[in-house]
Amino acid sequence: MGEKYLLTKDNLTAWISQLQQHGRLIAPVMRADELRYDYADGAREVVLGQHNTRRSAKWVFFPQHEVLLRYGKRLDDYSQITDTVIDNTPQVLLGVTPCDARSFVMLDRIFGQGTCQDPYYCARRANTLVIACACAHPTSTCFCNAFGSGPADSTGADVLLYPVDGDYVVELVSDAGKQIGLDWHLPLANEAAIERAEAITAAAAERLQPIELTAGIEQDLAGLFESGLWREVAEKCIACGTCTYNCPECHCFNIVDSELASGGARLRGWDACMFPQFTAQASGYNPRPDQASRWRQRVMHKFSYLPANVGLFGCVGCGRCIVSCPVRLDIRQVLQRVHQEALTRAAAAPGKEG
Amino acid sequence: MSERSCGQLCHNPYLPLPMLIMRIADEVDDRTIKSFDLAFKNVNDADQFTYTPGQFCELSIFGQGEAPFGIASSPVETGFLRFTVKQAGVVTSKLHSLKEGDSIGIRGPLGNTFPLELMHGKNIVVIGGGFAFTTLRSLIITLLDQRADYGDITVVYGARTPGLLMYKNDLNAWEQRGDIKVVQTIDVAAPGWERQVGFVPAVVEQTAPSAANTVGIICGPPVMIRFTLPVMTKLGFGSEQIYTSLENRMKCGIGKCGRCNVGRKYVCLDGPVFSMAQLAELPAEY
Repeated sequence: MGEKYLLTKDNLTAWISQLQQHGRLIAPVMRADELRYDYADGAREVVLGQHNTRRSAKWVFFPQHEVLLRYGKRLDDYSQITDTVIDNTPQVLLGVTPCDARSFVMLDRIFGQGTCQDPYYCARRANTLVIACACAHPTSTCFCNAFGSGPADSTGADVLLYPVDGDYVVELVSDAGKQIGLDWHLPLANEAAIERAEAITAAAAERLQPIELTAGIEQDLAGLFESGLWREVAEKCIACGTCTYNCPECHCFNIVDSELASGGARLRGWDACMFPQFTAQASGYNPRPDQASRWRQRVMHKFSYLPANVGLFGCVGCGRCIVSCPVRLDIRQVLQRVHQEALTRAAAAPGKEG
Repeated sequence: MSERSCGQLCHNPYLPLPMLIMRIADEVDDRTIKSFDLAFKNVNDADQFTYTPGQFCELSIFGQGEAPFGIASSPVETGFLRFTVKQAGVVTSKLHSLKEGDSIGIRGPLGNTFPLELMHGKNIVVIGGGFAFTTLRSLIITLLDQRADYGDITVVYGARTPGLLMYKNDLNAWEQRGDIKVVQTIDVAAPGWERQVGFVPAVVEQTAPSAANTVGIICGPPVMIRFTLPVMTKLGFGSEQIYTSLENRMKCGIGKCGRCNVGRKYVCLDGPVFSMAQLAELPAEY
């Protein structure tokens, strides 16, 4: 725990104005009756400390669609780049939930590490200060606790706010957070405020249903590639892809060209493993021919391949896929089903104890 | 932004390098497969681009998109990069409509390579079928350039008809050499064809290359591979001695877009070249 400061409700507006001096403000705001992360005009628009948004904040670094480059048009030349679009605008992402802030750490390992860095993602990430707000309102679909996380997890945040009856206790988490925190000249929080902040997040943690989902899940999944459970799971799925679009960790994308009269743009847009075309080859062959194999990919990717490849799950337990699924598929039930299936198999395996 | 570490790509891995189409040649008699010899438009790009047989590039045609293709030229052939492309989808159809002198883009080289270090000092058996001979051409020309570094080299290449065998000039030139055994075969007898007739698995069995101290490379239609592998097993090849190249659908080519994985491995990063022993550890998702 770093030092903690107090931001009173009287100073909130001025503080947010200060943030706007630092960079373009993105925060939870009401748009068309929906709480969502969007560009905010100022303090009066910002809605802090509420329940989770329906859509995640991943678009701030990895937009739903973006221009990678623009090209010129000549009948004999299909190689002329006229512009590349790297966005270095300083930004402040204010009021994300701890689960959203934590999701950025896994995305960093995809886009920021490996053989090549992704310059579009990395530019936005490097120029954005992340100020998370501890979660006082977990809902029945939240399961961050299944990952050892909780309502006051500061992972992935530069600064963490604890809501305290309209005021905020401010914890400066990262070096970038500590640096900018110097400019705010906030008074140190007193013991009473800190205790109250901890009590509020502790009460929020109490409201999360106790849940065991991830212990041994990689081993459980290891033997289940050919299992019939994927067919059962996928039976109701209508392949709409909403789970992946609203997921803070899903990062699969497509690249397409968009033609204009004068030239065009090469665009990147979110794609999803739940769509048949995702892996369909030009010959017509598709190595994932049915929705069962696509569900298996979604679960395996999040809970087996990503832990093996980058050391983190591709899930933070935000519950958005559960809330948004039109046919009420629940990833928690699927993981429990996986665990049961693994237990059943272990029991049935000859020569094994228990 | 921080510097990336990969050798060949420019600072932004999504930006294609501009290439001039120097030469276009039909490879098969139905004209659905053409070779495109490309030259770098920027000297700097040419200097920085080094590759090894087995690697691929994303060919980019602005307005149509990108598609991945194995590099069919060998690093020992300087001055051009060759890609042999079958007309199938949007990008390949556009490519087939282009003329010599037009320009397109490439991103790469991408992916891993054939195991040249492992192959050093060993006998080599190359088995190909139909259109899947592009990176095999690159490999064979590279092996022949350093001929003394390898033992016996045997090539079995099959297609449905004589007209569908690609790289005829290369094949015929190799046949003239005494230091490589080339077996060309077609599925059913055709007038004027005096070489082998029969499917690749049967011809491999007949040719019977020794498995001792040998590395086998096999690329072709899935059905050809499926029936050739048991033959190789019978000849004594272990799964760690046989390599193939996978072709899952790709977009980014740098392990980010999440499309081409087979289990936890990405074909674009960990492949496209895998040994049969490696594939045995992975789910059959290709």
